[in-house]
Amino acid sequence: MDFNECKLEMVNLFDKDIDHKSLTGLLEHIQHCPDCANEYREMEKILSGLKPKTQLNAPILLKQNIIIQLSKMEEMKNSTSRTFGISSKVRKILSIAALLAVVLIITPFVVKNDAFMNGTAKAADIFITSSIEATHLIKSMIIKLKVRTISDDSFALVGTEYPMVDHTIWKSFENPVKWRVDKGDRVAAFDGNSQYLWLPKTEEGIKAGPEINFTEWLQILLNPANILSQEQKLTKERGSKLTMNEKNGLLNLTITSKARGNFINDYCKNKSIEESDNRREYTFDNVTKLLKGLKIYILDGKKETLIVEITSIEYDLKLDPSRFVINLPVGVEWKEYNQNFTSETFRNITSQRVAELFFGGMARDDWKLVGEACDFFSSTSEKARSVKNQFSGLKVIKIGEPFKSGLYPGEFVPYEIRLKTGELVKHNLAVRNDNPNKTWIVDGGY
Amino acid sequence: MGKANGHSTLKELGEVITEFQDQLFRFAFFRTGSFADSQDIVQEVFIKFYQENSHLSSVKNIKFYLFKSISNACVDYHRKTRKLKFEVLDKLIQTSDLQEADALQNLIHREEYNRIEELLNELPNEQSEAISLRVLDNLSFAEIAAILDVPVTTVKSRFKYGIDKLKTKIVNSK
Repeated sequence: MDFNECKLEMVNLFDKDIDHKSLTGLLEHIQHCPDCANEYREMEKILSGLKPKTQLNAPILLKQNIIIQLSKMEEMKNSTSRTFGISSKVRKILSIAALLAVVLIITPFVVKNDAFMNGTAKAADIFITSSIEATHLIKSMIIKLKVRTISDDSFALVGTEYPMVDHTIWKSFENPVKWRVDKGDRVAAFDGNSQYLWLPKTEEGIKAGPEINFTEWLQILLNPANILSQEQKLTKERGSKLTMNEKNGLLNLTITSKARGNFINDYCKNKSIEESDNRREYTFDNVTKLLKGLKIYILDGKKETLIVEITSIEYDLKLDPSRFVINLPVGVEWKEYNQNFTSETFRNITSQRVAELFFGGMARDDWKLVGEACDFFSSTSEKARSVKNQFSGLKVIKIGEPFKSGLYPGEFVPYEIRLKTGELVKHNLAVRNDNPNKTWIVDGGY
Repeated sequence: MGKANGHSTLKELGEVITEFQDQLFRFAFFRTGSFADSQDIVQEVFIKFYQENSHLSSVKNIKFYLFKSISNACVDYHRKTRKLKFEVLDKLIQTSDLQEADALQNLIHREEYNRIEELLNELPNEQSEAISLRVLDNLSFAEIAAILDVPVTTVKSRFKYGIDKLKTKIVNSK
């Protein structure tokens, strides 16, 4: 090869598919021609300057997104054309199995709230929608779980310092829907018409319509179809993070969220799941796509505490209808849940004054006044008498400055009282007036 | 999961995706400047490819088919958005809630592609396209010729003239 030929052919040295003969001829010439060698080096230098120093690759979920979308499309096509031999329930499960067979290839990934991961968010949406469909096939379920809480306190209360308390949830999804949630010293049930809340320690039985939320946070487990859609909404909020991976036939979904609420005073920090920095680890069966497990951790700096753990879930068992009926002890009757607070005494005053009147009433045995702020003290039950006796004749030492905390809609009033037994009690009275009459009621903390 | 009657399966498509997804994504990114839009474009092209071809193995030149489809999709993208390369990305970087590590990584990609874009901007479109298809997309001259629908010799001369111009530019700037 001569100089002119090399000048013409040199560009082939930068091709991927150069043939051996051209390559040999060009290289041999360059070795003996300083001008061509120089030109080759200069071209090479320019081209190396055009090569990106960082390698941009396709997003990790691109392949999975495509396969999942096509699986869904094929399934939709098949389900409209296939009219024989297979029940809709089985067909749905099969399609879910097909989808999950695809999901098997998932390596851990993160859905973040940004435009860059747009495709990933779409994949999560598709997955979540399919799972919601699966849960609509359930006829009944029994969930056993442990929660760090106090056995007779609200279903929302959690705390890293509390013991693990056994809870059981029964639900029949057949019309009319019925459920029961039991944590030992607090039981709530719905018989298809009314809700019932039974507090055996204080012997209080409260009856309300279906619109009242007696089960508080645990309501999310009563509606497994809503778990994912609620979590889906939460992950779109700033600061939440969702990860998914597959292991040993289970699909794991982990959501990390920041505490919600006002924490200028951190009294309510870590007192409920929502008011905690927390990590929720859901586990789903790969075949049925139904919820199999849940663990919730409260995150406090580097420390994490397991706060909720589902120990078992069983689906489609036959449930005895009597499970959804709470039988009260002799002498105790259901009281209608009262939201119509009308006390004039507890209107247009400060929360601090509410605490003064409340404890003042206890000190003077004015149970009519105390009952206006807290309905429990209007009761004539044995338990109510016992509690009244405990507080009767107390001495108020100090009522402090009220404060707000977390998501609680009312205020907390710090107090210090001495019971007639000599015991000193220091706590925060929870009071709220978020009702149509703006009447203060005592919500707890005594 | 797969198509019936011996048609191609999603598993086969998965193999094709694995082979070409990175190249195609880079190709789209360099033409749109947007991660999200590049992902959507590549995704839609693969879906269409699967739906339109009952036997993937019967497609003569899959690589050509896919690059050509992405190229067309990018042309459509620019027609629809009327946005220049990297304007979209600049906006994305400024307004998104990317976490720090991702934001940094994306910034590095953007700067790198910006640098190359600036160099190639000095050239006529035909020459910069030949160079970027060869250097950034790692296509052979023959593959580039097929995509651009021009003879291989034309691709080579565009490539060579482009390099010569860049060489002159660098010498003059010293």
